[in-house]
Amino acid sequence: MMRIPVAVWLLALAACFIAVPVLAATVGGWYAYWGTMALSAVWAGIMLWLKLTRYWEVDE
Amino acid sequence: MADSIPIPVPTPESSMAVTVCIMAMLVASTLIGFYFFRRSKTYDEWMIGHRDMGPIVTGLALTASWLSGWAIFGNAGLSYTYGWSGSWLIGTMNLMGLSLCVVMGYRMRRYTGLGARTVPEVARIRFDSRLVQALAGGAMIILLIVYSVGQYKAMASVWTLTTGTGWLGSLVLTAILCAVYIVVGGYAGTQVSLALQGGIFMVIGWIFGIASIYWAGGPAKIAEVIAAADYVGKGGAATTIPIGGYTTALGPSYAGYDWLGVIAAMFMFLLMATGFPQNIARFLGTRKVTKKEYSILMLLVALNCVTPLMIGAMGLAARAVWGADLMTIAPIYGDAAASLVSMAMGGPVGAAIFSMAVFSAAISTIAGMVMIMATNISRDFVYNLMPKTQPRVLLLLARIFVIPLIIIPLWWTYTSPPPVLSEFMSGSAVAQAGIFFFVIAVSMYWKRATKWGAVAAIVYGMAAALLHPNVWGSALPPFNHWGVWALTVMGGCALVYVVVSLLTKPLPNEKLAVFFPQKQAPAQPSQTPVEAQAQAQVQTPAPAQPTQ
Repeated sequence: MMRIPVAVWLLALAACFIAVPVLAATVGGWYAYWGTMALSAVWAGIMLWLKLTRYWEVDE
Repeated sequence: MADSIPIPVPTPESSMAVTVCIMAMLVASTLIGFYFFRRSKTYDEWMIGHRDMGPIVTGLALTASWLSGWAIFGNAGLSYTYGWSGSWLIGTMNLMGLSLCVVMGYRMRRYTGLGARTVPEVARIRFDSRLVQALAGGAMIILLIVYSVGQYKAMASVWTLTTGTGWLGSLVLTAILCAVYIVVGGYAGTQVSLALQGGIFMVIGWIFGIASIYWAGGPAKIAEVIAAADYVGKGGAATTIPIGGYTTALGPSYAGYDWLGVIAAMFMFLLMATGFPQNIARFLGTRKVTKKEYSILMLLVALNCVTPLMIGAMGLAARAVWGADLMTIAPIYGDAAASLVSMAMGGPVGAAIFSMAVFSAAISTIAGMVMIMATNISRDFVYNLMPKTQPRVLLLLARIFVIPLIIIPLWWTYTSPPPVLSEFMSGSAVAQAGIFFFVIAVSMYWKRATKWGAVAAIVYGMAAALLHPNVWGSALPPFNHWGVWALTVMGGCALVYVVVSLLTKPLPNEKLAVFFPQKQAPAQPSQTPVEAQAQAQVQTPAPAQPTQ
C-alpha cells in the first residue's frame, strides 16, 4: 500500500484549522459549533496517526 | 413551556445538597492524598511520584488541569452573553490544542530521565542554564497566580448561586482541603485526585449539556432565539448589536469582535494547552506506555474536550429560556447561566451535582498550578541558588509554600474579583501560550534553540502581556484590539525565540546528543547481535550531567 507523505498529513491538519472560521462564516449556527468539534477530532486523529506510525520513539 | 420556567433561587435543600456533594468530592480527593502520603516520603517522590502513572490517570489528569473553571463555568456565561461569537473563547476547537500537547508533552519523560523534576528544570537541562530555569519559574508563578484568581471566582459564584450564603468561609475550607491533599499526597496524590475530578466533570458536563438542549426546546428553538437576540450589557443595558453570528461588533477589546480576533483566539487555543505548565507537567510522572495505551490516552482527552462545548450549550439554552434576564443578576451576570440551568433542570440534586463538577474543574486546575508554583520556589529558586540544600529541607519548604500559594489568589479574588471570568483568564493564557509553548515544548524538538532565544522569549512575552487591552493597551492603539495584542504576544514570542536562537550559539553537539539521540538503524543482516548492540551503544550516549 502506498505510504502517504507526512507533508500531505500536515496539509490536512492545516485544512482542518482553516476550515474552522470558514465554516463559522459561511454556515454558522449549530453546524459550525459541532462542526468545529468534528474538525478537531479529525485533527486529533491525524496527530495520533502521525505519532504512532511516523514519530514513535522507543526511548520515550 | 420553556418560556414559563422561572429563574431558580437557592433553597435550604439546595444549599445542603451542594455542601454535601462538594465536601464528598473534596474528602475523596483528600483521602487519595493520604493514600499516597507513604509513597511520597522523599523530595523526588513528592515532586514526580514513582513515574508509574498509566494512560487513564494521565489522560484524565491532563484534561482536569486543562479544563478549569473557565471551561466548566465561564463557558456558559460566554455563550449566554455573546451568542455564537462566544464560541471562540469557549474553545470549540480546544481538542486541536490538547492533542498537540499529548503529542509534544510525552517527550517530558525523556527529561525526567535526565533529572528534571519541574517544568523549568526541563529548560535548565535542555539549555544548560540556571538563568532560563529561574526566569521560567518566575514567569510561571506570576501568570499562574493570575490564572488561579479565575478559578476562585468560578467556585465563589457557584457557591453563592446555589447556597445563597457568603462564600469566603466555604472557599477557605475548600482551599485548606486542597492544600492538604497536595501537601500530603504530592505529585502522585494530586495526579490521581485530578483524574478523579476530571472523570467527574466529564460525565456530569456531558449529561447536563445534552439535557439542557432538550430542556430549552431543542436545538432548532435555541438557534432561532439566538439568531434574533441582541447583546445586552451588564445590568440589563439593551443594545441593537446582534449576537446571531460568529463575530459580534462589541468593541475591539472583545476576542470575537472581528475575524482577526477570531484567528488570535484560535492560535491561543492551539498553543496554550501545551504552553500551560500545569498541563505539560502531567507527563513528568507518566510511565512508558504502549501504542495502544497511548491511543487510550488520546481517546480520553478527546472525550473530555467535548465537555466545554456541552457547558457552552447550557449557556445557549439559558438564553433561549430566560432571554437576557440574567444580565441583571449582579455581580455574576451571564456567568450564572450554567448553575441556574442545572438548578432549573434537576432541582437541589441537579444543582449539587453540577456544583460538584464546577468545583472539581476549578480545584483540579488550582491543584495542578499550586504544585507547579511550590516546586518552582523550592526547586527552581532555592535549590537553584543553593544546590547543597538537603532534600528533606526542600520537601518541607515545598509543602509549606503550598499554603500561601493557595491563599494569595483566594485573597485577591475576595478583595478584587475580576468582572468577566473568561476574558480575565484569557489574558494570562495568551502569555503562557506565547512563552512556554516555545521555551519548553518547541525546545524539546528543535535542536537549534538556544538559551538566549528562550530568555528573549520569556522577557518579551512578559513585557508584551502588559499591553493587554484592559491594561496599558487601552491607551496604546492598536493594542486596544484583543486580536492585535494576542497575536503580538504569541507571534512576537515565536519570532524573538527563533531569531535570537539563530543568532546565538547552541549547545555543543555532544551535549545535544543526549536530548536528540539518533534513531537506531536496523541491524544489518551480516551483523552479529553483539555488533548490533555495540552500534546502538555508540548512537545513544549516556546522559550528561548539566553544568551546575
